[in-house]
Amino acid sequence: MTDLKPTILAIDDSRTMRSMLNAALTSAGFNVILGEDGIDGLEQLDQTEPDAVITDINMPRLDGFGVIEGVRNHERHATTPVLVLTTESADDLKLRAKLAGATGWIVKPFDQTKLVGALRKLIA
Amino acid sequence: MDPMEEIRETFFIECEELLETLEAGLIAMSDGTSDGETVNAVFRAVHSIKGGAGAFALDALVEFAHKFENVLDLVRSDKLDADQSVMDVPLRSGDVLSDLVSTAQAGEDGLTDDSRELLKELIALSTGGAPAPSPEPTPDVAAAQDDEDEATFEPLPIGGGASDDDEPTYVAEPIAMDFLEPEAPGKRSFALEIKPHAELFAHGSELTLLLRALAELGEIKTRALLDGIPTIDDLSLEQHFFTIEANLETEQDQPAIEDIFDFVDTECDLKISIVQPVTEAVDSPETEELASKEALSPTPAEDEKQEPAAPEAKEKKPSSEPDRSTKAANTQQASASRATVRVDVNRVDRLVNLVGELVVTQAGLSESVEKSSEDAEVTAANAMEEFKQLTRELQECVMSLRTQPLKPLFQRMQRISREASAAAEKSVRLQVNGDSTEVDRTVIERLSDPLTHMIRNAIDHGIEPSDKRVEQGKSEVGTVSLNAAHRSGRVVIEVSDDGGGINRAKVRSKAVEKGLITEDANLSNGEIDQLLFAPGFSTASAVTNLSGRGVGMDVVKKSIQALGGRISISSDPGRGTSFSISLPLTLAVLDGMIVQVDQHTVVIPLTAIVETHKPATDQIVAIGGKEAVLSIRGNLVPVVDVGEHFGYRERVDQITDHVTLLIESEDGGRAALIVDDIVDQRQVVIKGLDDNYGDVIGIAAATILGDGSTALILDTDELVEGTKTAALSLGQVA
Repeated sequence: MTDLKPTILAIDDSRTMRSMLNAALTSAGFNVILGEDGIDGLEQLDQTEPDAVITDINMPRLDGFGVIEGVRNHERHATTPVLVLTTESADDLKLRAKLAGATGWIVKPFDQTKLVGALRKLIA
Repeated sequence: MDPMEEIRETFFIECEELLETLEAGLIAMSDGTSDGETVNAVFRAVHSIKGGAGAFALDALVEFAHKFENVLDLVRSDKLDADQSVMDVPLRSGDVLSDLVSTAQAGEDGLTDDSRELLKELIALSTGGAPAPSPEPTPDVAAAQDDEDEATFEPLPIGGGASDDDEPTYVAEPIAMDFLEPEAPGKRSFALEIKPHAELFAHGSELTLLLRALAELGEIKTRALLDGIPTIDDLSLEQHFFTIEANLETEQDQPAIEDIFDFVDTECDLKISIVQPVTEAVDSPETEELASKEALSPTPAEDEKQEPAAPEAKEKKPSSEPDRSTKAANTQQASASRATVRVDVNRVDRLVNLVGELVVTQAGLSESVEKSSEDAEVTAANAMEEFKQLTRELQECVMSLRTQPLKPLFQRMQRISREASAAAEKSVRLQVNGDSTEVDRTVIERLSDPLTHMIRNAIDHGIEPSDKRVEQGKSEVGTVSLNAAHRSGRVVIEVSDDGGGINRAKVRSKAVEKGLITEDANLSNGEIDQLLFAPGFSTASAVTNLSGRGVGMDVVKKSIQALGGRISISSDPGRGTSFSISLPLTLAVLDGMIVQVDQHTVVIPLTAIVETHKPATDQIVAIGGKEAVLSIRGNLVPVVDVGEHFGYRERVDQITDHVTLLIESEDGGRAALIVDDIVDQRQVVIKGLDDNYGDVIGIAAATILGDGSTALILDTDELVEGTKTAALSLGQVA
C-alpha cells in the first residue's frame, strides 16, 4: 500500500505541544512522527523518511539548533525543510536558526492554518 | 472526547510534572547544590508551562510564567547571582505558578493578589533591582501592554484559526493556501525575477515548490536564464545557478506573492513588478515598479499580508483582542480531572511478558490434562506450579501499576514548610530523604492532609525560636526531616524535628485539666506522649495561625489508621520529636496466615506474626481468675483468646491444647493470640467491611478464600492495643 500523505517529523519536549502538533497535522492530512527531544528527534529522522521537520528550540539533551545541524549533516535528509517552532521570537535567535540552516519559522502558540500553510509551501 | 479537551488534560498532567521538576530544581538552586543543567531544567519547565498556557489562551498564566522565565533566564546566563535572598522570589514564584495552574485547571484565568505582588518583585529582579514600574497594569490588559516580546503570545487556539468560532474544531484545512484577498478584485499581471542563491537547497527549500506555489495564485509563465550555469567541471548538484523570470497573472496582490518567499528571504533575490491590470485597465500599460527587495524580513507573519508594508515593519503585533481570548478560555470548561496513573514503560513491558508466559503455561497445562498418562500428571503438576508463580508475579506487577513515588507529595511539603516557617517567623529547613519510595497512589493522595498537619506542627510547636536555639547551642536554622523507606513489607514515613521535644509535664497537666487522665495516674513517658493523639488534646496554649485549625493529632491518627497505617511518637527532651507513620504497601492484598478458631476461619497478617507456639504448662502464668499471661523466654506477654474476643466461644480452659501466635504491633507491643489450628499461609485480597459494618475493634477487613468462603482479617495492632488498655485500667485501679 502506498501512502501518499506527506510525513512530518515534529520534535518538541512538551507533551502538550506534541499532542497539539499531532492533532493539527493529522487533521490536515499529514502523517506525523513525534520526537521527544533533539536526540530522539534525530533518531526518528534516521529511521524514517519525513518530508519536513518541525522542531522546538528549547529542549533537553539537544536543542533545536542541534536538530537543524543534525538534519543538515544527515546523509539522506540534508535538504529536508526544517521549520522552527518556538515561543522564542527574539531576532537574534531567529537569525541563529537561519544560519544553522532552518528553512522557516513559526511562533508558538501556533495557528493551525498558518502552520499547515507554511508546511504546504515547503513540501510537495 | 473532544481532542482539544484531551490535549488540555495532557497539558495539566504535564504541568504537574513540570512543577515537580521546577520545585526540585529551585530547592537545589537555593541549597547551592545545583549545576548548569538544573538551572536549564528549571527554565525549561517554566518555559513549557508558558508555551502550553499560550496555546490555551491562559493569559494570566502566560504573563506570570513569562516574567518568571525572564528572571530565570538572567540566572541561567549568570547575569543574576542566585544567592539565598534572590532565590526567595523564584521559590515563592514556583508556588504561585503552581496556584495559577490549579486556577487555570479549574477553568479560571486571572492573577491573584499574591501573584500580582510577586509579579512586581519578578519585574524588579529582571530589571536589575530597579523598582517595579507603577502603576501596575490591570490584569486584563497586562498581557497585551507588556514588554516587547509579549507580542508572540497571540492566543490562537489551533483549529480555531482566525475564525470567530468559540469552539476550536479540527476541520481539515483545504490544501490551497489561504491567500484569498477579497479586496483585490480583478487580475493583475506581475513580472517576477527570482534569483536563488547557491545555498537555497542546503536550507531545505526548493525552487520547484516556490514556483508551484506561485502557480496556485494564478496563471504563470516561466523562463530560465541560463547565463549563470558554469562549465560542467564546476557544476554542483546541490547548488543553484540560474535565474527565473516569471510572469504571473493573478487576482492576488503583491504581499500574497511575497508571502511565498518569506522563508527564502536570505537565500533568494526577488524582484516583483506590476506589469498591468489584466482587466479594465488595458490603457495603462506602463510597468509600475512597486518594490524591489533583496531581503524580506525573516518572519512567517502571514496575518499582515493585507498591508503592503515595508518588510522591516512586518513584525507581529500584540494581540489586541483580549476579549476573544478570554472567551476562548471560558468555553474551555473546567473538566473534572480524571484520575490517571503514570506508569513506567518497563512495568507495562513486564506485564506483557508475564501475560505471554501465562498463555504458554496455560496451553501446556491444557495439553497435559487432555492426555491421561501418569507422565502427564507430573507435567500438569509442574505446569500448575509455574502457573501459581506466574499468577503471583502478575498480581504484583499489576499492583505496582498503582504505586507512585512519594516525591510529588514530599515536594508539596517543601512549600508547606516554607509557608509555615514564614508564618511562625522561624527559620526552618525541610530535609527530605527517600522520596523515591513508592506507595499506592490512594495512600499518597490521602497522606497529604496528615503530613501537612504534622509538618506545620513540627514547625509551630517543635522548632524553637532562633534566639532560644542559639542559647541552647543549636544551629539557628531548625531542621524538620521527612524520611521515607520500605521496611519489612510496609512503608515507613518519619517526620522529625530537632526542636525542644515534648514538654511532658505540660502535656500531663493539660491532660489532667481536660479530664483525659486522673491527677494521680501513673504514666510512662511513652504513655504521656500518646496523649497527644487523644481526641480534643492540643498543647498550643494559644490557637496559632498554623496548626490551630481545629485539627489535632487525633485526626491525623484517624486518617493514618483509615489507610491501614499506624502512627507512633518518640521524643527526646531538648533534642526533638519524631513521628513515625507505618503504612501498608498496598491497600489491596495482604500476606496472611489462615487459622481456625472454633468453626471460623480467620486471617492474621503475616507481617505481624513473630513466631508460633504450642505453649507448655510452665509457660503459662496465671494472674488471677481466668486471666493469664504467657512467659516467652522470660518475657511476659498478655494473652488474647481470639475465640473469646469475637464471641465465638467461651475462653479456653487449657491454653496448652491450642496454638498461640506471638504478634507484635507497629510500636513494639506484643501479645499472644490463642487459636485452634494453623491452616495455611497465603496471599489474600482485602475486602473492606467499613461500608457494611462500620468499625469493629480487632477486625481490619475481610477476604474471600479459594473455596469461596469468607474470612475475617484481624487487626493485630488493635488487639495488642486492647491488652494495653486493659493493663492501664488495671494500673489505675491499683
